[in-house]
Amino acid sequence: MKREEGHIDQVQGVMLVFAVLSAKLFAHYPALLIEGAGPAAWQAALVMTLTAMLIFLPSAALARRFPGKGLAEISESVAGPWLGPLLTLAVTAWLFTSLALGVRLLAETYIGTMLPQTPPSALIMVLLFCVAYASYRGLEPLSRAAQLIFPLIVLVVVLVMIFSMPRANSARLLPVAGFGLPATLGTGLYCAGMGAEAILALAIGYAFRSGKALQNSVLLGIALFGLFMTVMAAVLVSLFGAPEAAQLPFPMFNMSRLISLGRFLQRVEAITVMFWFFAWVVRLSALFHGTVVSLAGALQLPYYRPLIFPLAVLTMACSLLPEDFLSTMDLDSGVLRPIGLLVLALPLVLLGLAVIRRKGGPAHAA
Amino acid sequence: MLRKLTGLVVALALALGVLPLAGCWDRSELEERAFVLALGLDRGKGTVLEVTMMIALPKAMAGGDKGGGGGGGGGGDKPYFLTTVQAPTIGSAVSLVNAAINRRVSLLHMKALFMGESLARESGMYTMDGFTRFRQARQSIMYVVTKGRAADFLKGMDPKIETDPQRFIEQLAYNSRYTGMLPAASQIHTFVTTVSTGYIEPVTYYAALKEEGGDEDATAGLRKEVGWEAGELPRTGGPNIEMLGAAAFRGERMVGVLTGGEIRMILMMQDRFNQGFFAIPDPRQPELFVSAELHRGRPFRLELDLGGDKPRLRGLITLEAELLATQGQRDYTAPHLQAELESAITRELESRIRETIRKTQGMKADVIGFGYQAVRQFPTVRAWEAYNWPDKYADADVEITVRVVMRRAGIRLRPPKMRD
Repeated sequence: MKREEGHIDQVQGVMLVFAVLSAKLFAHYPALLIEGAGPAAWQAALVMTLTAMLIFLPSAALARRFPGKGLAEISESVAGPWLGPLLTLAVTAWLFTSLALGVRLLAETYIGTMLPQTPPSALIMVLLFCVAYASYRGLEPLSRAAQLIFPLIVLVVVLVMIFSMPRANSARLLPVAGFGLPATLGTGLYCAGMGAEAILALAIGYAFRSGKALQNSVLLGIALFGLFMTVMAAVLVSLFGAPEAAQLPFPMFNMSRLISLGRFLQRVEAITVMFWFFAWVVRLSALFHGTVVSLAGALQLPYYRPLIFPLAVLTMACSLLPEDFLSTMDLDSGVLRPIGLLVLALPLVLLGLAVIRRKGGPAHAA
Repeated sequence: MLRKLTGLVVALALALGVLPLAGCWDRSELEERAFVLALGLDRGKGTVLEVTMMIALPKAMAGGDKGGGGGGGGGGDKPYFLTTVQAPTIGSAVSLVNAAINRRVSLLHMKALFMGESLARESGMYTMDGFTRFRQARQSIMYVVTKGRAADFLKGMDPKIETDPQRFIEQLAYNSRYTGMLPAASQIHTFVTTVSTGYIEPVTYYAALKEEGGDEDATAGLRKEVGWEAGELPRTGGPNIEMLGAAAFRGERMVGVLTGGEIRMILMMQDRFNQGFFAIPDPRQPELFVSAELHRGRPFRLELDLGGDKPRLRGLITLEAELLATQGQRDYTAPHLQAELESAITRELESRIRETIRKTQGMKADVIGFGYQAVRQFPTVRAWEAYNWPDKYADADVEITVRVVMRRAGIRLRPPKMRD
């Protein structure tokens, strides 16, 4: 594939990975942790983070073995011209599904909270226009946008948490072991799929300056996301109590609606929603871009841009397939996330093949 | 050339993108909306609700139009009107009201929910799912249980000092920081969270209308000091709305009323008491009173022993006092009398606390929140639930000690001399 995208450094990589993952803070994902682990959801978030980092290690090793190469090139090099593209297509399919469900989730979120009369298709079209344009511009502008958006996301999340604090009660985090250690561990392991989008970094691995930069970007990005998810789970439980917090599909929205300091700082959810949109657009743009370049790589096309419009149309069509918001959420948490664990483990197969077939390594370093 | 064309297309797309900013499907014009300020809920005929809506008259609020007061209890230059409708749910009530009101009724600016006592005794959680689920309602809405029907309360409200009764109620709640006679919080969020977690039983604000011409005994009022329920205060004149004390719940059902004085004791045990004026009988001349302002001192300490048949709780409240007034000639700024006064305040408070705890145990409702401390001793939710704290609390052996330190004596020393 023609390199027309520039490079991203480690800092940009961390922020891109974080931006892709952190959009989950605004959606139903913290509720998944709380549903499974109750008051100990923050511990489950830690387990989730460590597991996701652990599962990514084979991908990191693969990236270091094939520096300057993306998933499509690595697959082809390791697994051959037939099996390689098939493996890439498997990852692409997962990324695409994550993208389509993400697009629908965001549209439904807006309809559910702010724009009840707006048809999903209208929102999805606007969203996909932004996403497709970002992908057209390439990875470098996208990662710069992530770099720009990173402090804003952090600021908004932290401010909402701080201003919600007057209503929090740390005793709601008790009993300390929640539903018990097995439930905490099980939930953490199950939810490790939340970090599966980190495979995106491997898909765009050619853009990182080195394998080590990719590895550090992803591990730090996941760690940062895990830290925020841990704090978010703890704050939500201390604000709403575990039974209520587990029923909140839009936790940041609910938290911002609770903010009422004196009589001057209230009704701030409109601002939160704006940043929520930014975070999701960066996430979906990165997913879209990862999908389109992986697809181009699997099909061994020299350019990815001709695929942008067809993929955008396909994304719109597929995002409208789930009947409603609840089934979209169920598909995401019940099907996509567990498969995500397998997707993260796929590079392990490639790594094994690379070792057996003695592919990659220092000799391949650019 | 291609770059220029791309730039042109992008600029055009951005320019066109401005168009929908004015709103498409979800556009909302202020003058087409009728904003509900407060909602009253009572049991209607059969299983339906009787929903009373206090709807804002924006022009009257701004002072531009004195007329326009409407039906129900509204009228005159009130900046709102009331309308009551029988409906199975709040959503259907909104729809029905919209058959009679040209503007689209909206709950976006709703600030208070008033629930009639009889409905609260059936279930305080009635309609709560709607308030936590429906995007227009906010969980920060104030939750007030009214003595009698909420509809009558809303119709009869006469705040006098404010034209907007909802603002009046809101400020009454703020006053509680200086009086300590209302629960620390009473909002839909706190109520729902409290019911669902079960570490503490919920309380809500309790309000009533004061009927003029009552036969209150003012002397008894002094003796009872702050042990009054809303609607019973020994006073005449002024606004006819009283909000003090609380409606106490066990789970979702209201099980009793707590007085303002009891709420003060509860706040002390919750470590949420800020300050308040107290009057206690003069230790040397019990027919007279000594007045002091009490402030929160050190954090409340509680030790629990859940090992025996009954939970055993021992607590220590530390307060700081400032002498405000003495009716007698005793100089309580003298060191030995100061200690005597501190002991008298301590005894008085310990006695009130014992009574308050006994009352809540009688209701089987840990509205104080000892459960928050008890849950620390359980490793898992299952173990905690198996212990069944609400039932255990009713039989708990609770002893709370109070320590009062008089820090200040106002801006003079000895009391003024008196002559026959």
